Amino acid sequence: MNSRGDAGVGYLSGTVLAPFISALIIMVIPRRWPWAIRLVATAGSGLTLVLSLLIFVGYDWQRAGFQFQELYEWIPELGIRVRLGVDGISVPMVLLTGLVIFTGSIVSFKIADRPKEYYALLLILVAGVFGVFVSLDLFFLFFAYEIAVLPMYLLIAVWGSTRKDYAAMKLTLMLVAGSVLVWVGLLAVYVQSGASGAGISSFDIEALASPQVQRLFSPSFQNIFFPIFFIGFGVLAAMWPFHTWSPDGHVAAPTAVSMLHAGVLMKLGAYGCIRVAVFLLPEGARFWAPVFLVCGTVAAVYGAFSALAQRDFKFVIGYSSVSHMGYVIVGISTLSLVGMSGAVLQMFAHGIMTALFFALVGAIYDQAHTREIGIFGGLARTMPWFVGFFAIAGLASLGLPGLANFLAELLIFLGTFQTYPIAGVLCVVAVAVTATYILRLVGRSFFGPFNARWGGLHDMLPNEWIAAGILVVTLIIVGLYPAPFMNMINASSLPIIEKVGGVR
Amino acid sequence: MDIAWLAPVLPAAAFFFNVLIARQLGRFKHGVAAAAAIGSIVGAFAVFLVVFLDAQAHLGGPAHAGGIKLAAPSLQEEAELPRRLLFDHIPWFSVGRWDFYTTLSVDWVSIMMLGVVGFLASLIQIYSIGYMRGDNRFWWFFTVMSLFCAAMLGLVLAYDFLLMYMCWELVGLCSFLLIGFWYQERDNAEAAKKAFITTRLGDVGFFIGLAILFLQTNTFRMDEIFEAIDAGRIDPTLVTVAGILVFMGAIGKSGQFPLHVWLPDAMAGPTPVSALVHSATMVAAGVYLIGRAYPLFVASPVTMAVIATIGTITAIFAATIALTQRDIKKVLAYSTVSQLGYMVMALGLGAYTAGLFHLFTHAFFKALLFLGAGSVIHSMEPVLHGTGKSPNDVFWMGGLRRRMPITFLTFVVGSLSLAGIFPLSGFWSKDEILVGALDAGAWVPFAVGLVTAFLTAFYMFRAIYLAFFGAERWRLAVAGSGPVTVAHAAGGGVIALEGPDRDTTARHGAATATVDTQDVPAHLEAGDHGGQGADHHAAPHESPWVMTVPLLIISVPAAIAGWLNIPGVFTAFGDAIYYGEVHHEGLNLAVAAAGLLAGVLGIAVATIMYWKPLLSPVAVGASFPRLYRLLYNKYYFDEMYQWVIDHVVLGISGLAAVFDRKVINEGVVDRPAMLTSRLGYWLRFLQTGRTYNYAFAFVVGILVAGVVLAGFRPDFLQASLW
Repeated sequence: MNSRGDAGVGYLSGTVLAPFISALIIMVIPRRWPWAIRLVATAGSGLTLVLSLLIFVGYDWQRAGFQFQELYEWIPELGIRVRLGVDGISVPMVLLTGLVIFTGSIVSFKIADRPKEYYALLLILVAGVFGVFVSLDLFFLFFAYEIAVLPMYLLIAVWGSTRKDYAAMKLTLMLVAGSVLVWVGLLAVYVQSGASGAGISSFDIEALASPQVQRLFSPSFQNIFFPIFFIGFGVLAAMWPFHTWSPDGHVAAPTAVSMLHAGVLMKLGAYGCIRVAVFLLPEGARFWAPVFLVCGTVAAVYGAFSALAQRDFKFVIGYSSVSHMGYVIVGISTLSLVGMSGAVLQMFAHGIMTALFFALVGAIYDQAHTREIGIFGGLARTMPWFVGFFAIAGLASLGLPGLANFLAELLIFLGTFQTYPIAGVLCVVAVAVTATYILRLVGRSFFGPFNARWGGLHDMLPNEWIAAGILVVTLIIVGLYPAPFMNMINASSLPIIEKVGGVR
Repeated sequence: MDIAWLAPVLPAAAFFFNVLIARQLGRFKHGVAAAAAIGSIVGAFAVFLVVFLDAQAHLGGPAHAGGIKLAAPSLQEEAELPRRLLFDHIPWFSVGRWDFYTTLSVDWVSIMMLGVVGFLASLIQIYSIGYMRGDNRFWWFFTVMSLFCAAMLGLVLAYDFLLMYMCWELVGLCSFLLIGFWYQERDNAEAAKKAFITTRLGDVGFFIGLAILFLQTNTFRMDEIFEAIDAGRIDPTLVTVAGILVFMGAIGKSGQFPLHVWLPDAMAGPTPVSALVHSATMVAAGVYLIGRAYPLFVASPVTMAVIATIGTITAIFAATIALTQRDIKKVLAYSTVSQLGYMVMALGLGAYTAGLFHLFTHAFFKALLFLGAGSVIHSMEPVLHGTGKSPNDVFWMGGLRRRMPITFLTFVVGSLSLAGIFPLSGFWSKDEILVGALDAGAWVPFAVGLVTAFLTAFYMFRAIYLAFFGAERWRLAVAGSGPVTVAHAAGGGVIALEGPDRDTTARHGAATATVDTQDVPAHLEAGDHGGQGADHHAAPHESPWVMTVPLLIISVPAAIAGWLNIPGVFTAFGDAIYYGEVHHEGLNLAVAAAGLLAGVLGIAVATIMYWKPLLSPVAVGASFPRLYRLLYNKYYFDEMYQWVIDHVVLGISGLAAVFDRKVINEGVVDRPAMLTSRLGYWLRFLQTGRTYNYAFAFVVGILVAGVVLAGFRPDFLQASLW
C-alpha cells in the first residue's frame, strides 16, 4: 500500500549514493579513457537528476511533512542515525541540485586536465550536498555538509584560475570557520536536549523540534545559540558581512564548480538557516530576526552597488549572488509565511539562474581567456545563442516577470513590506540597481560595434547549448506555472512559521 | 466576449513559433516570421471586432448613441447591463491565505485599447515589411513585435494589478529590444539601456504602491481594491501615498517630466517601432493605467493635483523643446511627450473622457506622423548614405512634397489633426480637454493647454516646411561630399537655417538663402549631375505601396476618429467611456474658437518663418541665443542626469566596491589571516621536540578533560566509554 510520497523508498539514499558510487567507479577507470570518465559522470549525474525529478513528482504536498523517509542505525550509542526524509523545502533543493550537477557535468566535457580527479571530486561534493538536503539527523547533516565543502578547496586550487590559491584558501578557511560555529551549536543542542535526565540526547531534527525537547531550550539558550547557527550557516550563504569568500571563490573556480558553488552550495547555507537555526530555535529567531534582516538588506543593496563597479564578468555575477542571497536572508528573517516561501523559491530560482550565468561565462572564457566586460563588443552578431541565453539569465536576475525569479522576489518583497516596510523599499531599489548593472554588462559586451578581435569565437557548443536550454526552460516553467512549487514550499513553511509565531 | 483572451494569446503563439520553429528555416525564416506575426495580429484585430460586436449587446454603454449599434438591446435591458465583464479569473498559485489569480476583463476602455492596438499594430507591421526589407534580422524584428503585441494586449485586458505589472514589464523589455534593434551602433544600445532603466525607476514606485494596496486588501484584483478604497477600508493617507507611487509607474512609462528623457532617445529604434511602441501604444500605457485605476487616484485630491501638475508641466515643457529639434523623429518624440502630458493633465483634472479620448485620437495621428517620417527617412537614407549626414535631419531635407506626394499629404493630415484644426480628430479631443480644464476651474492648465496648442501647431509646420517645402537641400549634402562644391565654401557643409549665433548666420548667408527659394541653384544641380554620376546618389522617391497603403489607411482614422465624440451630435465614445456618470462637455464655442485660433496662429507663424521668409528663423534664434541653446539642449536634463549617474550612482558603487575590498576583505579577513599565520610562527617554538615536555602536557590534558567531563556530565562519560 504505497500512497504518494511513500512510493519509492530508497530514492533519497539513491540521490546520495548515485554520485558517490559514480565517483568510486571513476576512480578505478584508467586515465587513458577520458570518454569513459565522462560517460560515467554524465550517467551518474543524469541518474541523480532522474531521481530528484521522481522525488519532486512523487512528493505529496497535501500531506506536507517529511516523506520518502529512510532510517539506518549508525552510532546508536550516541543516538546518531542516518535518517533521511524530505519536505516541501528540501524537495525543490534536491531538484535544483539534480539540475545543476547534470548541466554542470555536461559543460565540463572539455576539462582536459586530470578529468578523473575532477569528476570524482565533483561527484563526491554533490553526494555531500544531497546528504544535507535529505538528512533529518543533525549529525549526518553536518557530516554531509563537510563533505560538500571540503572538495571545493581542491577543485578551485587545482582547476581554477585568477588567484586560485588565495581564493581557495580563503574560501575553505571561512567556510570551515562557519562550520565550526555550526558544530558548536550542534553539540550544544545535543547536550541540551539530554539535559536534566528528562531529555533524549538526540540529533534527530524532528525529535529536537518536538515540544518536550523544545521545552528544554530556554529563551536565553536560544538567544545565545541562534546567532551561532545562523552565522555559521550564513557564511556559506554569503551573508553580509561574511560574504567576501564568495566573489573571489566564484572568480577562481572552474565553470562547473562555480555553477555548483553559487547554484547549490550557497543554498546549503540558507537551507541550514531555515532547517536548523529557525526550526530548532524559534525563540532565538524571533529575537535575532531584525539583526539578520538588516544584514540581508545591506547585502542586497551593497551587493548590487558593488556589482555595478566590477569589470570582470564573474565578479559581477559573484556580487550579484551576494545581493540575491541577501533577498533570501531577508525573506527568512521576515519570519512571515510569504517571505519564507519566497526565500525558498528564490533559493531555487537563483540557483538555476546563477548556474546558467556561470555556464555561459565559462563558455566564453574558455575561448577568449578573458572575462573583462569592456574588452568585448557586439558579440550578439556572431554568438546569437550565447547572447540570447545570457540575456535571459540577466532578465531573470533583474526580476523580469515570466521567469521564476520575479515571483520569488515578489513574495519576498510582499513579506518584507508586511513586516519591515523600509527594508522592503530598499530591496526594491536594489532591483533597479540590478537592472542597471545587468544591462550595463549586456550593453558593453554584446551590443555596440563588433570587435573584430573576437571574430574567432564560436557560438555555444551542443553540450553547452543543452545545459543552458535545460536551465532556461526551468526558469520559464517555474515562472509561468509556479503552483507545484508554491504548494509544497508553502505547506512545509507553514509549520515553521507557526512555530516561530510569525506572520502568516 | 469570452474569446477576448485570444487577442494576446495569438501573438504570443506567433512569438514562440518564430523563436522555436521559424528561426530554423534558413533563408525562409524572414518570410515565415513576418507572416506569422502579421497573421496573428490581424487575428487579434478580428478578435477585437467580435468582442466589439458582442459588447454592443452585453455591455452597458453606448446604447443610446445610435450609429454604431448593430445588435441593440432594448432600453430596459440596457439599464441592467453590467459595465464590465470579468471573463477570466484563473487561480494561479497560492501562498498561505493569499491566492494569486490572473484576471482579465472586458469593458469599453479595454475594448477601445484593444481596437487601437490591434488596428495600428496590424498596419504598422505590414508597413514594416517595406521598411525593414533587406535587414538581416528581419525575422527577429517581427518576432519581438509579436511578443510586444502579446504583452500589450495582455496589459490592456489585465484586470488585476499583478498581471498588469507583469505585462507592463514585458512591454518594457520589448521596447528595450526594439530600441536596441540595431545594436551595433553604440548609441542605440545606450538608448535602449536608458529607456529600460529610466522606466524601471518609475516602476520601483509602481511596485511599492502595489505592495501597499495588496497588503491592505489581500488582493491584486482591481475591483476589490477600488471597493475597499470606496468603502474607506484603507487609511486615506495610504491611498494618497499608494496613488502617487502607482502614478510614478505612469511617469516612467509615459515619459512624463522628470523621467521623460528616455523617450526621445528611444527614437533610435526602427521607425515602425517608434510609431507603434513609442507613440501610440506602450507609452500610452501610463495614461491607460491612470484611466484603469482611476478610482485609486480620484479618492485623493492630493494625488489628482500631483497628476494634473506633472501633466501640465510635461505638456508645455516638451513642446518648447520640440521647437528647435532638427531630427524629425525627435520633434515627433517631444510632441508625443507633450501630448501625453496633455492627457495626464486632463485625467488629473477629472476630465476622464477627454483624457482617454485624446489617447484614442492621438494614437492614430501620431502613428501616422511617425510612419510618414519613416517613409521620409526611408527615402533619404540612400540619398545621404556615405555623406555622414543623418537622414532624420530636417535641415538636410527640403522640397520633398513633389517627390513623395502620398507621404506629404498624409503627413499634413496628421499634422493638421495634431495641431487641432477643425474638423480633424485632434480638434475634438483637444477641445474637450480645454473645456474640461475650464470646468475644473483650472486656469493655469487651461492657459498652458492653449499655449501648447500654439506651440504644437508651430513645430509641426516648421517640420513640414523644412522637410517638404523649399530647396532640395539634400543636394547640398550630396554635393558636399564631392570634390569642389559651394557647401565646402560655406564652411564644411553646415547649413545654418536657424541657430543661436549671428556669426554663423553671416557665414552661412549663402546657404540660408537657398532655403528661401523654391528652385535649386544651378550650380547645385550641376554638382549633382556632373562629375559624380547621378546614379551614385539617387534622389528621394516615394516609398513602395506596402508602406504608402498603410499610411493612407491610417490617415482615415487620424482625420475622423474625433468624430466619435462630437458634443451634442454624436457621442458614442463619451457614452461608453466615462467615470462615474456620463459627462458630456457642452460645445463651448469660445473655447473651441480659442483652441482653433491657437492652432492657426501656430501654423501662421511657422509659415512666415519657414515658407514665406517674412521673419528669418536665423534672426529669431539669434535674438534669444541663450533660450535657443537651452531649448536645443533640452534644458540640459540629460547632462544633469549624467552627472548624477557619474557622481552619485557610480560614486556609491565605487565606494561599496572599495569598502568591500579594503575594509571587509583586507581588514576583516586577510588581516586576521595574516595574524594567525604570524601566531603560528611564534607557536612553533612550543614544539620543543623533547618527549618529556609532551608527556607532561598529555597527562595534564587527560586529567583536565576527565575532571571536566566527570564533573559536568557523568552520564555522557558512561554512555561513551562503557
